[in-house]
Amino acid sequence: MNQNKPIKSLKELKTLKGKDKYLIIIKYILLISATVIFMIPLAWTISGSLKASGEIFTVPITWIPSVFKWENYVNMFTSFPMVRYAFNSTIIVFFNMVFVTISSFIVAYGFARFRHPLNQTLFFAVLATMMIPEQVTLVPQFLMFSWLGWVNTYLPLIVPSMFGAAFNIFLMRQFIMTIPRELDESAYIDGCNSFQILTKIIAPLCVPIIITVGIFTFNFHWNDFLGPLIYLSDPNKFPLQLGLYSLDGERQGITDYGMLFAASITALIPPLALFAFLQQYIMAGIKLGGSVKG
Amino acid sequence: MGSEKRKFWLYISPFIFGFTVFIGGPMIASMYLSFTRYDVLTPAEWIGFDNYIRLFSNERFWDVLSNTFFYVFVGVPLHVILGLAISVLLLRAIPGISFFRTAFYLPSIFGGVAILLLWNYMLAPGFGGQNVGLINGLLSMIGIEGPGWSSDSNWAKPAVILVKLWGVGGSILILLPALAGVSKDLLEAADIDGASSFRKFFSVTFPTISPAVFFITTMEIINTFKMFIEPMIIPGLDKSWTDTLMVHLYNNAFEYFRMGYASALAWVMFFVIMVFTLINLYFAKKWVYYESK
Repeated sequence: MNQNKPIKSLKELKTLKGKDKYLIIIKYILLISATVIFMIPLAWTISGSLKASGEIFTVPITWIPSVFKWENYVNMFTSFPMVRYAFNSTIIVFFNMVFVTISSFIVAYGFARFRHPLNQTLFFAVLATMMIPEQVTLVPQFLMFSWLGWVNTYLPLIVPSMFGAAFNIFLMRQFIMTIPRELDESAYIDGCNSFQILTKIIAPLCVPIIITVGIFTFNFHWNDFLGPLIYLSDPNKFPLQLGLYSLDGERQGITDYGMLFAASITALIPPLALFAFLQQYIMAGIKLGGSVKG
Repeated sequence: MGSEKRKFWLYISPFIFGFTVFIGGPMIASMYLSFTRYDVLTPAEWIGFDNYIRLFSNERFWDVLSNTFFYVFVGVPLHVILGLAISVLLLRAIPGISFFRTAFYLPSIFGGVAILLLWNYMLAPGFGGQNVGLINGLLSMIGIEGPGWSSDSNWAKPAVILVKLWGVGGSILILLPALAGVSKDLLEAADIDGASSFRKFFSVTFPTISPAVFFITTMEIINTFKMFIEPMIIPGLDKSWTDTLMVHLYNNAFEYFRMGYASALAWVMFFVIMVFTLINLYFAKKWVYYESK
């Protein structure tokens, strides 16, 4: 009996007997309890975001607010510059996504398609930069950007993206290598130059990897904390994560926990929405788990 | 052919430029700075190895180093074991499996200040039934009086590790496909030979997925050495309980403007990470199995 044989329907589940039946029951009990443990933090915070501040930290825990305080989600706009911060985050994330995707793609194309004695060596150098911890370059980069007068602007947070990112270059190069060269060659015979081959032949076939890189970039920059913390001092320029941090930093003055919860939950929505929107795509890797085995 | 070489340089030129300006150049500058005293306002002054000497005689450095080691030696193994355990549970396609897979993956997409702030409140210890957060609230339901978490020197670091474990889903994304690739024939052969599930896991499954386990272990070690945001948002009552090397670097560079000292610290971190990666690689030879061998 193969214990990893997929079970496709509830009906099939009911036909299990003996040891298999008990094993699957234990598995469901484990899965359900672990899922509850993993989901409780979200349930508690979502419920907290709808409570009056006094009700959040009480025992026993009230899962359903005694009074639904929807104002928390209104107050975060009135007593906290939510729109401003979200807009700032969007600007930073958007430009990084556009720049890093295009630049990494161009570099990856260079490595994947053009022969040169140094190709392998330089590609190895790309991989090596992934191993260089960014803290070594942090201080000199800061000094350079402050010398350029870029501190307290978005430029230090965006400009480095214009020159590709090692991990993205690696992923995209591997992907382009799987596209048959014959496609390039026939386009070349039809009169396309190398840049047209990139935009008209290669790019449309690379949509999956472009989406993957886009998701990584979005999540990284939406959640980025260190960069904005170092470079931005004007609260009007803060992205959402730094705004929330500064709000929490004045904790002595903040007693409106419900509002703080509402604002934090709202900050989780964009990555969640992106995930929901592209779930099929992200979970494709996970799906493998069931179908390959039989 | 000459044109192909020229095109190669043309297309990879963004990387060459970016590497020179944002990585290579700064690395050299950082090396130089680590031998100077530089506070941004007055010109850098060459002081030889003074920064390194001061670093190693700074009590704070040893605190943050031992905290970082704690996160690496306790947090990383827990992460790998939990990731493996959940992945094994999630492997077989049974009704509802997509829901379970999504539920475990979901927390790992939340990585910023927002979720950590919320965790900070979830970990609120509560005194005399007041200000009780989620965790101690749940523990009190089953009659356990929860620890003080961030306000207790013994529990402040475990609190940080607990929060990090919640994001184990990213590793599941790598382990699950690896588990799916385990040879069905080998497992069946082991079955016929009467191997127990336990024996099958360690003799068949684990060797096959060991490259994936090695990959997530390596990434977790490197990321844990660079951990910054968690101790910043969920600090211990006394920050010396939770601060990491990276927080120490941030404080020195951007709060006290000790650029030379911070650069020396960065190189010490670089060296420590390198040594750990090499040790990890060395031991990998003993337990990571590659098909091609």
